[in-house]
Amino acid sequence: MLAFFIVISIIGPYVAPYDLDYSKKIDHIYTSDGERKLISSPFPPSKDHLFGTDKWGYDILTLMLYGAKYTIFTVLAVSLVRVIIGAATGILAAMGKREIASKPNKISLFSGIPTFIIIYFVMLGINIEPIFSTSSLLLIQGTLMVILGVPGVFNVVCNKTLEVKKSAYIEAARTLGGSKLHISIKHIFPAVKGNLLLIFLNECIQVMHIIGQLGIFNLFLGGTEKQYLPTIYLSMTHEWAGLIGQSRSFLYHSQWIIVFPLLAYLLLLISLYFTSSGLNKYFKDNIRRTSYL
Amino acid sequence: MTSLIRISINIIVLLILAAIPLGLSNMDGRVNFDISIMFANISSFLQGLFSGDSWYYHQGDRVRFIISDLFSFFISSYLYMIVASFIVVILSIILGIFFWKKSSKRLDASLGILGVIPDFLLVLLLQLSVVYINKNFGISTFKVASSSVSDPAIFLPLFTLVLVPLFYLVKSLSDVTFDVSTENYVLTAKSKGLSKLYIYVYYVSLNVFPYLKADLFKVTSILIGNLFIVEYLYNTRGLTSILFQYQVHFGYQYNLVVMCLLSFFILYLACYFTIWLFIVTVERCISR
Repeated sequence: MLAFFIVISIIGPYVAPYDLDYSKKIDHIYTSDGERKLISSPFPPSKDHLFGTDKWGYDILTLMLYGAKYTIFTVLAVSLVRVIIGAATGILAAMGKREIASKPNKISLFSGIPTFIIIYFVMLGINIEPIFSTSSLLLIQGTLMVILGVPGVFNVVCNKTLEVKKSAYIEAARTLGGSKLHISIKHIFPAVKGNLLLIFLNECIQVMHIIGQLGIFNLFLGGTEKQYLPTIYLSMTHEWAGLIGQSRSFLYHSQWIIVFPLLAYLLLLISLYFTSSGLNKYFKDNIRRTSYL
Repeated sequence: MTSLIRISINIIVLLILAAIPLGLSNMDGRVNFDISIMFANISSFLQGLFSGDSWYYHQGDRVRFIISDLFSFFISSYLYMIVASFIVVILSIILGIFFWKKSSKRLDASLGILGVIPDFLLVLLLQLSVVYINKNFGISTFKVASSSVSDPAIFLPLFTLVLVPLFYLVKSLSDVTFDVSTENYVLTAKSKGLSKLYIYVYYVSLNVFPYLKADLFKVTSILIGNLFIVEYLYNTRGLTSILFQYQVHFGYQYNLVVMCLLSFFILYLACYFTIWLFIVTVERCISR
C-alpha cells in the first residue's frame, strides 16, 4: 500500500500538469458545428463526436476544451492569489506577535452560511444576462473568492509560522540582529514553502468546490445566458461547472451530456488530490512516535 | 460584550448582503448600483419588524405569515440535519476511535478520494448511477428525488449529507486517537493488565472527546453547507427551497430572504447543541 503511495506521489505531480497542459494546447481549435441530420440532436457518443453532442448539436468535447481554460485558469489564479496574500500577511502577522493568542471559539452568524451563498447574493443581480464583459465578471467573481478565502490561508500560515518561530535558528538570527522582515524572508519563508505548495493545492480543490456549487445554482463563471420559454440557463464560457450545471436535467436520458463534463471535473479534482496527498507524504514529519495500542 | 458586538456586526453584514441583489442589478442595458434602494429596504424591514409588516410575505396574491411557513420547513431541514449528524458522530466515534488503525489506513489509500469529491458531484453521480441501475437491471433502488411532500427521498439525501463530514471527522479523530495512544498513561494502563476494550473506552475515548467537541463547529458548518446542495438537488422540502424556489416563483422578497438566512443560523445552533448534548451525555455515562 505504501509502495502504491510512493508511486502515486512520484507520478502525481507529473500527471496533474499533463492534464492541465493538454487542455490548454487544444482549446484554440474551433469546431462548434451545429450538425443537422435527420436524427435530431443530442447525438450519443460516436466516432465523429467522441463525447456526443448536446441538445443543440454542439460537440461536447469541443465545448469542454473551449471552457477548460476558464475553469482551470480561474481555479489556479484564485488559489494563487489567495495563497500569496494569505501567506504574506500570515507570516508578517505571526512575526509581529509576541505571544500565541489562544483562539476564541468562533461561532458567528456566518458559520451557518456557506461561502458560495455570499457570492450567490452578490452575483445574482449581475451574472445572469450580464452587461459586464466575461473577463470583468471573472474578475469580480475571482476577487470575491479571493477575499473570502484569504482568512483561511492566513490562519494556517500564521499558525505554521508561530511553530517555526520557536526553532533555535530563528532565535540565533534574531540574536545576530536580523530584522523581522529579513527573518521572514530568509528563514521563515523557506521553512513554510513546502506547506504553501500544499495549501495552494488544497485551495485549488476548494475553489473548484465553490465554482461547482455556484454552477449548480445557475451562476456560471463568466456569465449566465438566460433563455425564456422554457426558462433555461446556459453557460457563456462553457466552463466545466457551467456545463454540469446547465445539463443537470439530462439525468434520465442522453446522460452523456452530463457525464463527460462531470468526469472531466472529477478527474481534475482527483489529480489535484493525488498531487496534494503525494506532497503531503513527502513533507510529513519524520518524527514518529509509536502507538502503545 | 465583544461577542454581542460581533453578532450585531454580523447581523448588519447579513442585512446588507441580502440587500445586494436589490441594489446591484442589470437595468436597461447597464449595471445599476444603487445604495439608497438597499438602505431603504433595510430600514423598511427594520421598521416592519415592529409594525408587523416584515413578518408577512407574498405568495402570489396571498399574504402569509412567515414564521408559520418557515417553521414547517425548518423542522424538515432540522430532521435531515439531526439524523445525519447523529450518524456522522456515532460512526466517526466507532471508526475514528475504536478502529482508528484500520480506518486511517483505508482513508489514506482509497477512500480519501471520496472525501474530496464535492457534495454536488456526489449527488449527481449517485443519481446517475441509480438511473443507470434502474435502466439496465430494472431494479429501482432508491428515489432519485422527492416528487412530492408526502413522498420524500430519504436514503440518498442522508447518504450524501453524511459522507463528506464523516470522512473529515474520521480522519481528524483517528489522528487524535493516534496521538492519545502514544501517551504514557495508556502504557501505564496497559502494563496494569487492563483489557484493550477497557483502555479504549475509559482512557482513549474520554481523551478524544474534547477534540470531538471542538471539531463540532466545523462539522456542523460542513453539514449545513451540504444541506443547501442536497436539498436543492434532491428537491427535498427544507429551508433551501424557500430561499431559492420562492424567489423564482414569487420574486425576490427581502424580508423572506433575511428570515431564511437567520433561520439557517438557528438551524446551525440547534444542531450544534443537540449533538453537543449527546456527546456530553455519553461522556458522563462513561466517566461515572
